[in-house]
Amino acid sequence: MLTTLLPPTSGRATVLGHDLKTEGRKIRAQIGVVQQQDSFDQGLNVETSMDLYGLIWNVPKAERRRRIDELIGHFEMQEFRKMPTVDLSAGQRRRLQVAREFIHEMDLLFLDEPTVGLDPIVRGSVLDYLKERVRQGLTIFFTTHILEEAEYLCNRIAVINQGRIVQIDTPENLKRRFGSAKAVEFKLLQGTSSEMASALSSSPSVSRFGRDEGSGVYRVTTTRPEAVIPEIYRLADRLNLTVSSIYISETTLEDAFINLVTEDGKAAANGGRVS
Amino acid sequence: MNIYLRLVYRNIRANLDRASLFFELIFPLFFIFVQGFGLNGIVPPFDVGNGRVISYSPAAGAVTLTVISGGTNAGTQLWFDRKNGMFEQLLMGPSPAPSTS
Repeated sequence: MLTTLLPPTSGRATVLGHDLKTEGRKIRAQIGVVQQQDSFDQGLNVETSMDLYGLIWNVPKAERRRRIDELIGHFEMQEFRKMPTVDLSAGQRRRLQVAREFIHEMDLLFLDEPTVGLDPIVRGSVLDYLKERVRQGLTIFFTTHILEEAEYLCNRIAVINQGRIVQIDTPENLKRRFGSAKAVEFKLLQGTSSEMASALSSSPSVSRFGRDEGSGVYRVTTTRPEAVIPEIYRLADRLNLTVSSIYISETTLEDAFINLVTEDGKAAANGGRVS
Repeated sequence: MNIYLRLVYRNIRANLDRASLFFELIFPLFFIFVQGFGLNGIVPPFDVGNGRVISYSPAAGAVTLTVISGGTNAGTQLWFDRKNGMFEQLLMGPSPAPSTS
């Protein structure tokens, strides 16, 4: 709706000082949008596709050439710059979609989950590029479910639950206000233990329990790590297991998000709001 | 360049791949010159009055097929744009064809 693709159903909103209902064209002239879904030109190669997109935005030819070369370098697209867009992999198409949007100047960029389908290295370079652009003055409206990305990029985060904004604050403040729980992470020398898992899951001090299949690390979310750590050692003793490593990790934005959404759910059930 | 001309140019450029060119140029030619002359033998010439007679291949066939192929190509471009997400992308661009204003 804020990108003017859908008409407002009710209420009033302004984007960059322009009214959404009456000044859609002015808004569109100042924004860029990377949709969650794919968007590419059928029958064109990567470079031509970027060039035509720049033409639509009335970017002068010489400037288009310069920016295309620059963006192809930034987004590591050299190896497929001449490939037809239909032959690209999902990740390559995503890179093209994000890079293409930077061919024109804008004051505000809407990015809807731009890193989906990207490998970790490319994802890192895309995020770094976005951060650099923000430093240069661009405002980015970034939608994501990957909270590490939100924490890395964003100065302010709006948490949306059931289609309603429940909190807007800085990542630090959200963690401070809602991330009271700590995470205790530990590994067993023996790898896994279903008895340990079931005992900890049912412990009253534990609010969440999980295990990372890749690394084998158990993660216990708790507000009382001082009670949980001795409990882990007691259980390990009883089950003849050895704890090979254990540490308390900092509260993550994900912990804060879960707490906030849980609290909001409870408050909504009681007819209130989280504050 | 005006935004309308830029969009038209983009549509033309997006249709210059081999498959599109075949359907835009070769396919109509096949209809007009091969099938048209073939049909000329079985579709009787049409008398439009004043002694003027129009046969299939030079008139009706050519006009009809030009309209059909033009419409199909324009529709195909729109269909591809909808399928590939470019339609929404262009609507959120500097185009004057908005949903809101």
